[in-house]
Amino acid sequence: MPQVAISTIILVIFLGFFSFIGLYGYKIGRKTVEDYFAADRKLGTFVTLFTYFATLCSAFTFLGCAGWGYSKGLAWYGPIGVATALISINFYILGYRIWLLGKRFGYVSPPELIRDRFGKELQIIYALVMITFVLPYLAVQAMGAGYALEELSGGAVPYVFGAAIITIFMMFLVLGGMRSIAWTDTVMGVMMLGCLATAFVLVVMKGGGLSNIVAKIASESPAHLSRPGVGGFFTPGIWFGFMLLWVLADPLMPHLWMRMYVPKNVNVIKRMMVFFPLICLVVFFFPTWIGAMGYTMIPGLEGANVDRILPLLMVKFAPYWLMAIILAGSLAALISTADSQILALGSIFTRDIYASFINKKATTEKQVKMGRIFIIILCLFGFLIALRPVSTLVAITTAAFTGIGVLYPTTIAALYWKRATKWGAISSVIAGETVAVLLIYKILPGWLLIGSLPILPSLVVATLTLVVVSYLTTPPSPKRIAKFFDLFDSVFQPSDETKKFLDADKHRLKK
Amino acid sequence: MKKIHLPFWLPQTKRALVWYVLFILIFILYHDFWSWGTYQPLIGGWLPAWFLYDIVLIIAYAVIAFFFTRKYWPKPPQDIEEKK
Repeated sequence: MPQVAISTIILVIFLGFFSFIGLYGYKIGRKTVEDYFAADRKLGTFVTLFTYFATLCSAFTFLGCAGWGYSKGLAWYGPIGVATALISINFYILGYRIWLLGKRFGYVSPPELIRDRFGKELQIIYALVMITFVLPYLAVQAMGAGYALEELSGGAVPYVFGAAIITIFMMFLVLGGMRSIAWTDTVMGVMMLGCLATAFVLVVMKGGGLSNIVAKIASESPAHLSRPGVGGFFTPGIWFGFMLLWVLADPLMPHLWMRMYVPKNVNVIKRMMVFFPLICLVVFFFPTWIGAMGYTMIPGLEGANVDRILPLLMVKFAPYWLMAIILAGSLAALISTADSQILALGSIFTRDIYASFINKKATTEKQVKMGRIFIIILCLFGFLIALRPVSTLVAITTAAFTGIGVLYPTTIAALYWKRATKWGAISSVIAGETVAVLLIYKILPGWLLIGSLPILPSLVVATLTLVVVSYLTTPPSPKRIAKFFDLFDSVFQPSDETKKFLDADKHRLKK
Repeated sequence: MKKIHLPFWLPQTKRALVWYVLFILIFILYHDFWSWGTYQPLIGGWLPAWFLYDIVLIIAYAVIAFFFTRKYWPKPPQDIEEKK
């Protein structure tokens, strides 16, 4: 059978299967905002864990990680594997409180929650920041689709056409809402893990075994095996900076934040805190190693081309049908992220812009309908940005994460600090984002980075501004504070009366 | 005696302090700069020792997280837990 026919069959099966799941979710869904954007808050552990993991792992994980394993070496596992595992601390710090508030007040988008703590001005600022930084990240997925399909078809499907096919497919998928996405994400997550493991085994076998490959790397480029990586890239500052970047920015990505609204009970979040790091351990192991091993097998890739190492290795080593399945796995990785990003941005447009400012009396059915229209427009925007890829997947991703990570101090203040004021929060976000953008575009001098990444100085500025301006402005009204903190106090700080009751109960039990 | 109110980012109880220390320790151990600059010894002939250290660190974190969710994580109010 000709190769193009094989890849076409695999692609049709792939797209057809996930379309079926998407359609089923669409069919059984109810036309309410909570059902469409938050799957009626009824997802269990397995689906929530895998939708979180599949959403987190994008084209960047599959292609970009292998690319950095290739160009920087195994040292990349620390900042990407270990540091990403550590974000699970946020399931308690942020996730639990966000889940509590979502259950009590029915939030579906991140800025909605911020509005009730800091007011409408910050709601719109959060919405704009999230849209601005997630849109380029969305384009990363379309870029990845373009690369994967180009390789999958042996060049018969050009980059632009591949990106277009996947964009249309995603539009179709997202119309089914959070439930469809969570289900397809779960299957895609499992598929992705399987494909990465298969690709790893294949490269090891073709390379003559791990010991041989490692010996070859050690003789050709020992820096690929040790820290600080090739060219001494991971200085202590960069090492710390990446940890900061993932730990603080990942949970605030709107598509990941929204996943804290969907668990059916608290046990789901607890289990995620335990199992998520273990999944990270495995999932980032494979692409990092594949990239580092690929350096000795296909040398000479530079710039944005390093992101193509995994597809190139598959072309070189795998039988055609297997190569097509593994590259379909990379499509699964990027689609599972992009559909969630689109849904998240759709929810922000619908709830925080349309229903909050344009049509305040919009019915829930109208909101869901508008959400779908926004989603189609967003898909097209993402595709347009992907038409002219200007940087590597990792570079775009890092910039997007920096912009979102700046929101961390304000979000923590919203959930923990009663004295934080609206003006403190607004000025923190504006100051932090300004510094982040000026550093990303290298308008501010490099020494301000303190040897780290733009996230570090941006966070310092955002935190200081929040604290100073909050203390200089009038404290928020008790009514506003009570909305969140009465709930939190009842959970985290039992009242004196409750404490007395618990002590008495303990005493009784002892007797 | 006057009750002291600690800032929100500090542990408010002795129980919380234990978990603070454990989690912060993991974050500190991530910065294992003492083993930089070498890939030796190779465990099993292929896995750099520092890489195994990273794997063990993640597993240690997951174990701590497991006990944290069992022993410390406060329960939600009944109306939220039972909301259908």
